Amino acid sequence: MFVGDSAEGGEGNLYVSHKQDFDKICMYNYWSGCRLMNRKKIHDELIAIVGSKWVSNRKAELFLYSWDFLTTEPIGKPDFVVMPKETEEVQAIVRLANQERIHIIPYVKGLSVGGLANPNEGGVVLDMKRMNKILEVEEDNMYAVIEGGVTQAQLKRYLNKYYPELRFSYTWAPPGTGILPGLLNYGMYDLSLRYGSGDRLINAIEVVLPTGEIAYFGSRMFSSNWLCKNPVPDLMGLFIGWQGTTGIITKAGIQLFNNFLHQKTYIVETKTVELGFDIQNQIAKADIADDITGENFFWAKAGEGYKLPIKKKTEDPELTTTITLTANTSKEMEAKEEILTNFCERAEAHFALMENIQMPVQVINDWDGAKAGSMQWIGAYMPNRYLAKSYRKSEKIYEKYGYSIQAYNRLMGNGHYGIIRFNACFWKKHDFDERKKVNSMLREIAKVLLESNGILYKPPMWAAEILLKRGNPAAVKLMRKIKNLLDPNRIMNPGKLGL
Amino acid sequence: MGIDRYKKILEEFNVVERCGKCGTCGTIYQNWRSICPAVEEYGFESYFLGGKNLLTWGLLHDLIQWDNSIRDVLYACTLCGHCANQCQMAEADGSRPMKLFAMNILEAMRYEAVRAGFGPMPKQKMFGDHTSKEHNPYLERHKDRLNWLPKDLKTLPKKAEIIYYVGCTSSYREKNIAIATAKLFKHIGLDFTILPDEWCCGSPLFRTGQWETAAQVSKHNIELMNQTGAKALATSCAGCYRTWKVDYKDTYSDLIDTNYNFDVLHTTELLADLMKKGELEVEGEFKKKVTYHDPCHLAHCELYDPPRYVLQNIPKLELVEMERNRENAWCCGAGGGVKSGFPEFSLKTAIRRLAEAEETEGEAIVTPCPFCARNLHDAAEKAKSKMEVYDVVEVLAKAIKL
Repeated sequence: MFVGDSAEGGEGNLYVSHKQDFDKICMYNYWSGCRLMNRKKIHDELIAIVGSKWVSNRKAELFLYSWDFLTTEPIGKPDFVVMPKETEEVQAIVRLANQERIHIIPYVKGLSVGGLANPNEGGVVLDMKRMNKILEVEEDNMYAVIEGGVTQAQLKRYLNKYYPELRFSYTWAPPGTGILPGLLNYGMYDLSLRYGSGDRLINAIEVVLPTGEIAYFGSRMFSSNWLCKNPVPDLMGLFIGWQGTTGIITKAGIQLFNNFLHQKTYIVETKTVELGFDIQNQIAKADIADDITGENFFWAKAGEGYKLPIKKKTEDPELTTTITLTANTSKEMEAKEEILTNFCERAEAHFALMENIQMPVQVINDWDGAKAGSMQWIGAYMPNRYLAKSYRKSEKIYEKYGYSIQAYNRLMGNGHYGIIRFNACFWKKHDFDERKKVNSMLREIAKVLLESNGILYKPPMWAAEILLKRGNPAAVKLMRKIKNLLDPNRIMNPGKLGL
Repeated sequence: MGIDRYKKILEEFNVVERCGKCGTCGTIYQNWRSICPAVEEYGFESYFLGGKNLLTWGLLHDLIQWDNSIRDVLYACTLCGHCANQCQMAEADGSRPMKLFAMNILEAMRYEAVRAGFGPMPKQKMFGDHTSKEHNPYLERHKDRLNWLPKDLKTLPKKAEIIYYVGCTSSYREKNIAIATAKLFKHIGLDFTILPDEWCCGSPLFRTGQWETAAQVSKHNIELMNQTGAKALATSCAGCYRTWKVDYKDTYSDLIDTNYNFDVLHTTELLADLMKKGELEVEGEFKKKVTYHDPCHLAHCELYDPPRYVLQNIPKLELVEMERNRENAWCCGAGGGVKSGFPEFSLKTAIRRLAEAEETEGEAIVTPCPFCARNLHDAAEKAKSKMEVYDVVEVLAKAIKL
């Protein structure tokens, strides 16, 4: 069972060569190794910057930072993993990377479900977890200034302890995930119906540019506060949604919100997704909810701990929608509940009050899916009226591949648009053949989403290629020009976002 | 032997495979204070339970091969298990496989490290070898094991209802705990004695993957206990308690292959029971504000209340809790072979615990484990902390003025 029982693997033996999937890695490693003729010098310089304890080129770390363990796509081995503590250390590492032409891959927890924080051509993985300070909470204007590695768990604890009247908007990602990567990648949050996607919650940023300068954007560009975006051209857009290819965000001012005294969570079960999406839309327009999300039957069952595949009975709901209401007073809450009740009764949908969910949360089984610890997804922002159509088309693709459809959706920004996401977590982590099958299925679904006027979000490398091919040529050309302008030596997270 | 003993569990529950490296194991669930000493100290992904799980997955599926870096990661862990306690992944019936099996699997991987020629850490190997010869991990002579016995206790009976199993730390290092326990037992009038040829319980050997030696010493102890015909074994050591209670009986029973029917009690269980029955009344006092440190080995047996009960029934003693307590206590840093294998990390972890104890504004930290007490003593000395460190039986003995 243990092939390494008797021998310590050297650099070239990190992966077992007979595995076809690792040939690609070995190729990248060879390429990277050739470029890094002065590996020892780089190692020494990294140690000089952050201290020997926080630099690793050991097998244990190189293995763990190589993989996206959910998609199980092996991408490529880093040359070093480094954990800086201060912005100036990040700056020094970036300067070294420019000098030595090595890649930098920003990382907090590596849970993008798309390998966005894994290297594909060697380089330095910059694990930001030590940059975990919450520097300031400004109560009057409700924002926090945090470092790049702060996690949901850390901010939640800090606010609970010192500012219980304030809250952040949390994702369904696990508590240990970084706050900024989710915001910067247009993630969806538990206040997204009210405030939109994650990028909307960023007021101002400190960035280490790919050339090593430290720059401030948003209100920090002109003042000492982290209050808001600027009433001038919004240069933060050069770093939001770029998947770490244009710079490293080391600090940010992020919006906080009032922690309402009253909160209630309802579930609404509908026989069909068509009816469910319709109810979601009506409630969003009524402007009574903070959050509206939907889970289809099979995704919900995976969350409850059932091993897929399972049989769906006729009476089982096809879509379960979760709706969160908040209010200052019980009277305000009652009024909101009355509106919700009317919608549900008119649609003859079953609805019930459920226990409030304490965020952040380790979504119990979604991360292990069919208890195999593997998942890939594809999702898109799209007009609400296309949600059901894209669901039905995708359902047929799942069936063609012999799987049950797993879908999740959310209405965003007061109902101005929706997100639908299709998940697949059917294969054993080490079943690389089935993983390829799953990926083929998701590629087909990606096309459906694009045909439904969808825009792929948080795209993994394979999806970014598809997305950019459909992009307006002049705009895509400009994107590439901007990337080259900001990162002339192309050191920042290469290969991501099709760049 | 080795990881193969968990083959069925690995297949049925996918314990290592299902891990998504999400990091929930790094903080107390819904409290969010850090819970893992290794993550706090070393930071890299590898030191999270998730990292260890995925290294195990890589090893089991031939994707990586053993080397010293993997060994170091698997051994730089106190095996407190509080990480596994945070993981919410559950079966449809509500059971949580990570909580149930992750630590056993980690111990088995340490055995695999030994088998592959990479484990244990050099000093752990040294104490393993010494335990084979002298039956203790402290590089002390076996014939000196009972040197701590006070003069008035030199003549204990050959047979008794209760055997006081002293353990190596109390026998050789924290002798005051052994003396306090024996004096207390005598003061209460318990029918007790000590094994004439007590050996190490094997806990440090089980934890560090040295299972063959562990099985040898375990067998010896059980056979010796069976010969006494005693009704119960009582120990003041959390590590010995867990080993007798869980490892001999369950986890490693197949390796030891020797049964027993006597009760295994932690001293604090025995004392709390006597207090509840009115057979132990404390007439003296211990006028201090103290905080209680839960040893991880007692958490593994879900034994939280008896030590607290004992302390709460000592007149004038004020008990205050640290924020991280019971199943979410911060480890003292000594366990899992870390004190010998990674002494600096071990000491820093204990200093972090002392700092938390200081947050309570207590004057003393009290624990029912000599190994925890030892590391906390070392930490107090290193950090020049004013916090006093006691074992529960010491506090009780002081109150009674024994």
